[in-house]
Amino acid sequence: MSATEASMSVEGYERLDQAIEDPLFPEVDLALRAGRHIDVEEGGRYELLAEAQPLLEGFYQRYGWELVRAPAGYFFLVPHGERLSRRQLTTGEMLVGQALALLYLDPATLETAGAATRSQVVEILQHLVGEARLYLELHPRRRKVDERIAAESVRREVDKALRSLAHLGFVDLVDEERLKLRTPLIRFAEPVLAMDDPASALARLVSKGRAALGTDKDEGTQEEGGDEVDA
Amino acid sequence: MGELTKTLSALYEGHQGINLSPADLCFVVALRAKADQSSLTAFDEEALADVFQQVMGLLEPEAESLKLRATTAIRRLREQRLLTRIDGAGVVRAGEYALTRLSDALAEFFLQEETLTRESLVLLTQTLTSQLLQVKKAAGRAKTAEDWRRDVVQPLRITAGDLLGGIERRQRGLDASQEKIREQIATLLRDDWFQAIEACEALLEETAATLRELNDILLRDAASLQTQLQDIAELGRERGDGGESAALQLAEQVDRVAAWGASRQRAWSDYYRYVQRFLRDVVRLDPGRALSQRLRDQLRGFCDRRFHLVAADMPALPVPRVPDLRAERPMVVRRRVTRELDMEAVVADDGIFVIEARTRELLAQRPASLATIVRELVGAVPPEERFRLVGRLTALCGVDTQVQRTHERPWTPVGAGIELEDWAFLWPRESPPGERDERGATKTPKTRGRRKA
Repeated sequence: MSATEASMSVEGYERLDQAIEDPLFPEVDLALRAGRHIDVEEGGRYELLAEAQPLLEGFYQRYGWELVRAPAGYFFLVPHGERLSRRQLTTGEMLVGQALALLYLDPATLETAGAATRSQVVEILQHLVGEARLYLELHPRRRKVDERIAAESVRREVDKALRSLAHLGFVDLVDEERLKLRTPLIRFAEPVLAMDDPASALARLVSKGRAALGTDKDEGTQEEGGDEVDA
Repeated sequence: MGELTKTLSALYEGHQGINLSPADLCFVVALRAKADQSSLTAFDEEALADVFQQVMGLLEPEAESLKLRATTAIRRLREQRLLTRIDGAGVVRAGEYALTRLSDALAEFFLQEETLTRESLVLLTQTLTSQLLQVKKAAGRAKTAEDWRRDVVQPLRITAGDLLGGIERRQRGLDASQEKIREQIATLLRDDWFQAIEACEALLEETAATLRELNDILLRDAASLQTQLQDIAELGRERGDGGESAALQLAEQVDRVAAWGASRQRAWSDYYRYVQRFLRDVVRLDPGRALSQRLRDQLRGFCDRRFHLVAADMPALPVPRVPDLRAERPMVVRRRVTRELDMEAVVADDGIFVIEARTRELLAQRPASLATIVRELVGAVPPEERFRLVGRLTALCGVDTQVQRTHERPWTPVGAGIELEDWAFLWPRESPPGERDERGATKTPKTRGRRKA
C-alpha cells in the first residue's frame, strides 16, 4: 500500500484493504470490469464505491484503468492501456441508448418514476431517425428495406440492444414491454451536456478514452487486452 | 366466495351494466350538488328538468329541445338505477324521484372525494377504540348466543366494520390524491422547468410528511386495536360456538389498513428519491432546458456523425477444472447378466392321466368300436382340445386292442361335430391277429370334422 493510500481517510474505509475485504467488493469489482454502470439504485454496491472511491481510484490506476464517478452520481470503469478488454457500443445500442436518454429527460416519465415502454423507444427512433434509415442502420448488411418484415425486425434488434444495455446497467427490463430507466443513461447525452460545440465535447470524450468515433466496420468490436493481472 | 359467485353470475346473466354519457354523468353530479345545497331528499319532475336545463345550458349553450332531452335523460337514469321513483303514483300524476346509492357513490367520487388526514384518522381510530372497549365489556357479560349476537357480533360487523371501512375509503381517496400530485409535478416541470423546482419539492415534502404521520398513527393504533380484538376473540373461543369469527375478520381488516400505510410510504419514498434525483441531475444541471433539444438533434444526426461509447469488457475468467486426485477410479467390470429364466409356479395339469385311466376302464368293458370310447370322452374337454384328444385315444386303443380288418371302414359321427373312420375291436377268442400296417403298427384312423371342433 502506498503512502498516499495509507494517508487517505474515508468514512467507513480508512485503508484499501478494508474496502477489498468488504463482502460486496468481489461482485462490485467484477461488475465494473464487465462494463456495468453502478448507480444509487444498486444500494450497497453504490455505497461501497461512494465511500471507498479515493482508495479504489488509486487501486484501479495501478492497472491503468480509470474509475469514473459521473456528475450524475454513477460509477463506471474506463480501460486505458491493454490490460483490460474494452468494447464500443454497437450502432443499435447507441441509437436505443439515446432514445432512452430522451425518455429519461422527459418530465412525463416522472409520473411513473422512470417507467417507459419498448414501444415508446421504437416510436422515438422512427420519428427522429426515420423508419427506412432506422431499419438500414440496425441491419448494416442489407441494402434495401423489406417492408414485410421491417417492423418485426426493427423490434427484434431494439430488444437485442436493450438486453445489452440492461447488462451494462443503463436500464432494467421489467417485463416484455416495460422498462425502468436508470441515471447512467445521461452518459448518452455527454457530448451535448456542455453548452459548447458538441464536436469539441465529443473530441474531449474520445481523448479521455470514453468514446470512439466510429464507422460501421468498427461497431461492436472488442479490443482484446493484454495480460490480465489479478486484483 | 359462494355468495360472490352467485352475485357475479346474476349480474352477468341479467346483462347488468352502466353506460353513461358525459352529459348524463354531469346531470347526476349536478343533482347531488343541488340536493346537498338545498337539503332536498327528492326531486319532482319539474325540478329534475330544471337541473338538466341548467347543466346543458352550461355544457352545450346551443342545444335545443331541452325539455324532451331532459325526459329522455331521466328515463335513462331510471333504467340504470341512478334515479328511483318514490311516490308510487304511476302515471296518475307527475312523479317524485330520489338519487340512489349508486348515483350517490358516483357523485361523491367526482365531487368531494374524502382523503385520509391526520385529523380524520385520529378521530376514526379513537372512536373505533372506544367502540371495541364497549364490545369487549359486552362480550364478558354475554350469557346466551342471542346476547353474543346482539351485543358483540352485530356491533363488530356494523359499527366497527363501518368505521374501518371509512378509513379504507379515505385511504383510497389519498391514493387518488397522490396520483394527482404526480401529474401535477410533471405538469409543473413541463410548463416551468427550473422555476418549478421549489413547488415540486414542496409537494413532495408535504405528501411524504402526511404519509409518514399517517403511517405512525396507523402503526400505533393498529397494535392497540389488535389487542382489543384478540381479547374479544378469546372470549368468543371460550364459548366454543365459533363466536370469535367476527373479531378475527375485523382483525384482518385492521391488518390491511395498517399495511396500507407502510406500503404507500415505501412507494412514495421510491418516487420521492427518483424525482429528487431528476431535479438535481437534470433540471438543475440544465436550467435552460436545452439538453433535451440538443440530444434530440444529436440523435437525428447520429447516422452522419456517429460515435460509440466505450465500456470495459472483461470476459468471464476461464476456470479450468481441477482434477480430484483423492477420488478412486472404479474398476472396470463386466455387467452381470442372468441368462436363465426364473422358475415359474404353475398349476399341475393331470387331465391326461384321468383320460388314460377312463379309457382303460372303457376298454375293460370291451366296447365294439373306437367311436364308442371317443363319443364317451370327447365332450369332456374344451373344443380346441378335441382333435388332439381323438389322436391320443386312438393311440391308446391301438396299443391295447386288436382291430378288425376290413376293406373300407365306415365314417362314424362321435358328437361335437367330429366324424372318424371307425375301428371295430376284436376281443380275445373271437379276434383274428391285429390289423397292422406294413411296419407292424396299427393304422391310425382318419378323423374329419369342422375345424372349430
